[in-house]
Amino acid sequence: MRVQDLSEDDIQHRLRSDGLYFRLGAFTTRVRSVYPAMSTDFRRLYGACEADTRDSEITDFFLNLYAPSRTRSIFRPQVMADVEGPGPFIPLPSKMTLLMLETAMNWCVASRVRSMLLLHSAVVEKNGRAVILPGQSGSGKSTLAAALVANGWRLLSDEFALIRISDGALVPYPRPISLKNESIERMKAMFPDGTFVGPFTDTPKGTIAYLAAPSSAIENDQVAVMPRAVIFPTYESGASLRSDEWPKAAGLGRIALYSVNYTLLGRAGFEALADLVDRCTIRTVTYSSLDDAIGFVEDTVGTEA
Amino acid sequence: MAESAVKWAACDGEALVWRDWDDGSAVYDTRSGQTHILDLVGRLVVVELGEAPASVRELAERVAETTGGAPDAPLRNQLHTLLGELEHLGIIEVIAA
Repeated sequence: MRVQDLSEDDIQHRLRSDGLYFRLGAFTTRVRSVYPAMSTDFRRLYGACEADTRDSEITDFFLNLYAPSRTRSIFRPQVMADVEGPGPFIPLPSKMTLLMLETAMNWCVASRVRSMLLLHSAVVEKNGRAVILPGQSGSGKSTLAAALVANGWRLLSDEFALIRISDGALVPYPRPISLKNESIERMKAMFPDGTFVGPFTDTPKGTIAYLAAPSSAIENDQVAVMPRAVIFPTYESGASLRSDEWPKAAGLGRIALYSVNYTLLGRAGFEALADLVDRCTIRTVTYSSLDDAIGFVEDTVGTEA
Repeated sequence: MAESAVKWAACDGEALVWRDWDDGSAVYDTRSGQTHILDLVGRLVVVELGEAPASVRELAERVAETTGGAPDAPLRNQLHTLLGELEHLGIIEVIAA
């Protein structure tokens, strides 16, 4: 059964009571919420995920979204997340409950996963060639990843590259693509039939909207793929496309800066990172035209079947 | 201590995990958990010191032989600086002459 097969009432009941269980990629998540009105947005973004995993799989993450203040819950309600312990969250207005969910899910992955090397990065794939797009918030990685998806690439992840320690494969985790500020309207034009949630205005990162991963990406969320390139994207208004190739050794150092758990993994993390460098072309790309950037990525890794 | 009286040696090889490429190397230090990036000359120096401890003068002669350069004062000065950096990283160490 998938989330979209559940009625709105059923989702709300689960969120309010024992929790809604769903699986995406390698992780099963249980969510409880004091604000079940998030169910509509949740269903739009995670509808294609498997639901009812409670009895069949170990739950990896448990997120409880609650009202931090009983008084404020009446006048200016807020939402806060508990992830089987406190996380580094700040209360948000309750209308941003979905944003809190996304933030808490990111925290769970970043702070708990030890069997994979994690890079703050988007990941896309076409014909078995996966490209890792590392970048901090606002770098343009999500916009470029979304544009590639609009051009037939499969979304593996918008937030984290999950590199399996055992074999170096990229494990999908196709959560919604987080779009910010000007890129929201650009992507709405690029995805006329896309499922968008938001925009959420006045968030700590400006205006944010979410674009649901295509259902085909979620249906293939168990299909891992080997990486072919690491490309550091930077959006620069008015810039002509330019790119530099990075040497392997220096590239390893640069990629490590984008990892959220490299130092925790010790030698295994180093070996996984070095294997990644062995396998990949490492480049930067600065762009203003998405068409140019898409062409660059496709030329870099090739897309022939 | 006079330059000729100081010798350097590579640190415990088992503690360091190396990955080498055409353009340089990365080394993971299992003792500190730190990763360091070395250029080709840095890696060559560590390899040479791993084969046998050496003073700056001796090392300059061995490096020059490999690179085809001259074991002159500029090279010795460059190596002196590099050895200090590698020692600081814990990849090599000073030993008694």
